[in-house]
Amino acid sequence: MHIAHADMLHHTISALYFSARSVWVCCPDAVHHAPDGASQSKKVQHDSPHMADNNSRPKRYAPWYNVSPGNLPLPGLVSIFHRISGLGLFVMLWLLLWLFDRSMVSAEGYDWARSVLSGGFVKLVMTGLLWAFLHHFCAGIRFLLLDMHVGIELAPARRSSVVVFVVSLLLTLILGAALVW
Amino acid sequence: MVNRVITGAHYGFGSWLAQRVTACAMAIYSVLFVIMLIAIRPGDYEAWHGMFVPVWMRLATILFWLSLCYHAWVGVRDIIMDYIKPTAARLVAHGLVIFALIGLAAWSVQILWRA
Repeated sequence: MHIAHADMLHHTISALYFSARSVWVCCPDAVHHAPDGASQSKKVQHDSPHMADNNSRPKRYAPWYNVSPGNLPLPGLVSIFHRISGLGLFVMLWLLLWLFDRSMVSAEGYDWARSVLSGGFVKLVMTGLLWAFLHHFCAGIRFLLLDMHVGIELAPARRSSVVVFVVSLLLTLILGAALVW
Repeated sequence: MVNRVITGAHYGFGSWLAQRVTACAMAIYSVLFVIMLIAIRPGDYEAWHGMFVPVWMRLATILFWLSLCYHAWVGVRDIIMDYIKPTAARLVAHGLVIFALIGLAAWSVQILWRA
């Protein structure tokens, strides 16, 4: 996201710049004699807007732009777990609806669903799903607050990401003990 | 303000908003449902099935499932757009998710309203 914005801004700057100082595209040497206000020009001349294929320009990423999970700060982990838990819930939805279907159709179906849910492995899966749901729930509330510009500064955003992990894990323990086990 | 090129595409605000509105609806339902579960503690079929007999509960539950379908569509669509690069594969995945979610919505209606 940040990279995309930076790129767009850069293109806008380039476009403005070339319209004003197009002569420098023709003779890059002039750049070195440019006044201070033109300090951007050296960068600009490499990606001319006249270039046929804009995508042929090699992408430049800032050296700190490393999004592998091991390198993410806590808010980043909240975000990627939000995505993973959402996908996991989506995939397991059919299993849940199937159990709901059987449990609603008859007393026999209800007993069958209960017996399925009493298995140790199924309980483990259900606890995982409960955690996925609760993390998705808590992180979602955090995102809604961030959308409303609540706690958007760095320090509160980091604190709230800790809160999301702690609260969702605690709720998983409590509700898991009350409803699953 | 970003200078937009007009391509006839939507820019996602509607989906963004719908995702949040459905999230709020589901959050409220989930909290109430868990409170109901803990209060009633349905121990047999009669009690469990009885929870979904009142019309308001059926309506609330179906709103939950339909919200879930819309919410999941926006979320899964975002994931597909981010990770499946070849256009053909991406469109096939979109189609499969749409059909799966429409099926899910229909199934949830059938569960709640069959005799």
